[in-house]
Amino acid sequence: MSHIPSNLKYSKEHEWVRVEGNRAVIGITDFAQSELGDIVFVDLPQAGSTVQAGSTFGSVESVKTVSDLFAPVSGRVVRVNESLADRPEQVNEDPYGSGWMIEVEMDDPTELDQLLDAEGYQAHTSD
Amino acid sequence: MSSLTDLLGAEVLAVAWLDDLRHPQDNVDLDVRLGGEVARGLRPPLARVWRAAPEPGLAVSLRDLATAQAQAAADRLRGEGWLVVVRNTGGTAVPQGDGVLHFSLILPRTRRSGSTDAYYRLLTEVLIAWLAGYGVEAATGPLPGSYCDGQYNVVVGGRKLIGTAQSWRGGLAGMASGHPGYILAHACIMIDVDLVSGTRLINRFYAEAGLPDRVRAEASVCLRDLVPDDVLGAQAGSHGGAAFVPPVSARTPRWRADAAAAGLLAAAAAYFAARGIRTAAAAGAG
Repeated sequence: MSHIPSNLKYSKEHEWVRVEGNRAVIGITDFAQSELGDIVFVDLPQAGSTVQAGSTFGSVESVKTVSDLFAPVSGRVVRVNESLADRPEQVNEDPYGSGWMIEVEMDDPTELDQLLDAEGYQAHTSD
Repeated sequence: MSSLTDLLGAEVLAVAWLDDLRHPQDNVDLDVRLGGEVARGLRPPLARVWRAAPEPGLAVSLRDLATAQAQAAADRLRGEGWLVVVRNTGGTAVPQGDGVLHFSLILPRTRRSGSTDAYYRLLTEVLIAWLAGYGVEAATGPLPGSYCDGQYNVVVGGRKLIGTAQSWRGGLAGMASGHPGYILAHACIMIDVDLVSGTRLINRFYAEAGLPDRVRAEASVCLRDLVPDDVLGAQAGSHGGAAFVPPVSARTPRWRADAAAAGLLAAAAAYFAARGIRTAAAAGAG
């Protein structure tokens, strides 16, 4: 059973969002990291770039498989987890903590309404 | 367990030899362009046979080039005339040049898409069936010390013949996504390559990139060393390909890659047809 914190929002593409004021911290869920297996590389945008909800913002490589990452909200990237360059395994070890990926200053916080709560995400992963 | 039609996303598959030898990076990126068309339903799922561009060098992954030191190492190799192309699948560096053949399954992502393992099994089953046609017995498994090592290497006699990798676009691998996308399951086949030179170049790249990966030439093998030229030529000829075996002096890496490509094209079509999948020639890459 994967861990689904109740204080986060979730996309159907298995990203989580932690809202801090007008900012959204984004990563992939425990379910996602478990399904992907050992993460060996994370390709993330640079701070200062913009991301669009529903569009790719980077990629994650598990053992010989590269996958797209989708932005759950739109906005400007204000912080990137640079430590993932040297220790991508943090995404496996602590997906909601040190395995976070980017922090975005949101253009439109109402986009959060399109995301799932923990219960909804639990149901989504059970489909 | 996913059915074959679940994995293909259709009951029809185009099987085609599509390559662009004059533009090496475009040749690699064609998988991405075709994948976008498959994802949007503009073309059916595709099994693509393609040759590497003739210039010797390497295909590296985005991960290989993640640091400035690695990019500088790649630039140095390019400056010396080596080809360095970047592929969109995972893994590590593989030799490129005349005598290297590629095989890509480019399939739409669906709500019933299976696991990455299921696509690796499909890819390698097609390749193992192709090799069986030459009388070569192959299996899958890891082979430490081989280039781009992984669980789904295709191995013959304890040495690696084929490396494999995947890319999932439109969401995370093996998981449901509301976005259209495609799955690229890719194989790189050493037909007739100087493995000593190729692995030396890989090791030089990683040393200059400051990365720990190292490979050994003796861990790998080429099809040239497993299949006599007359068998390679006869198989190609029986499928309408290179219908004759040229004099020894003309049996170049390119000739062997062409003959192998013709054989693989036919073997892939036969594999899917035998399992109830309608196969068709693909439209050009346009």
